[in-house]
Amino acid sequence: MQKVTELKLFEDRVNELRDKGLVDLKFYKGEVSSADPESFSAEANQFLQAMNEGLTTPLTLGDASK
Amino acid sequence: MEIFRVIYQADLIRGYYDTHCLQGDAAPLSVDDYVHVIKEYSSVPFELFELDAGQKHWKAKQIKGGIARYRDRAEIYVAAHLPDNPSAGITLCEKRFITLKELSHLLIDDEDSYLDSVTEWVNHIIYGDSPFNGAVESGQSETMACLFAMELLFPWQYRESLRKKINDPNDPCTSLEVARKFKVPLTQLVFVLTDTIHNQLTKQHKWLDEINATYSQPI
Repeated sequence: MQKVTELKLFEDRVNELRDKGLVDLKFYKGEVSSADPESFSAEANQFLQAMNEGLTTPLTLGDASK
Repeated sequence: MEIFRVIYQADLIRGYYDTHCLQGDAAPLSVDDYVHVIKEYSSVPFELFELDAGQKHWKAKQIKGGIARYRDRAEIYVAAHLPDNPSAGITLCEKRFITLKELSHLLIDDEDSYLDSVTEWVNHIIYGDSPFNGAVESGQSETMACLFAMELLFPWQYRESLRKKINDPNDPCTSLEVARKFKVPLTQLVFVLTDTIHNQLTKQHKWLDEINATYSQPI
């Protein structure tokens, strides 16, 4: 049996979102030098999970605005 | 993606901002005001969310923000700034930059920039452009989005003079000081002021000025 990697899992999750009308997905990685496709995909999967489960609040900039 | 298109779009947003936002060009520029301007200008409705970096589900070790674009709307996600736990979140300057950087995708991307192959895209994010991992359009759009956000937060008219001051050994002005004044990430400020990027942008702005001058002539 083929091992399900984080990258494959990420690909599957993106395809599920495509079925729901997603046309593009982009992430900002910032200045992280030590990373590999698997660890990045693992975090991307957590990101999508948080997104789907509504683990978010409306963004307020407050002091960050000015 | 053409860099000129990015500069042109940023110039339009800057124009709306200057006309409609009372604060004017005083640094730091208001991200809230830019969000309102982009909401008016963009044809895609969007919502902005903060992901709590303290949540056990997501700790933002690598990914600091993102955009999910659907056929009829978009959702922008930005990591939380956690003053009590700075190592878990992002800085205020990053928050300002990432918000506009993600929003810029609504204005500068076209279908060629959309995510196609997930594997190819992930490899691009990790390894960047290299002879072994050719440029992908969705990856190029990331660099363009960063340039766009910096055009808004650190407008062009300030750059030449501040660049000279920073490079002058007799002037105490530093990149860090300028980054603090404009509330932008230092790495992004240094990036846009490097010779290669600054010279390329100078060329684009010169073209833009010529076009604006031509079209402002009375017929």
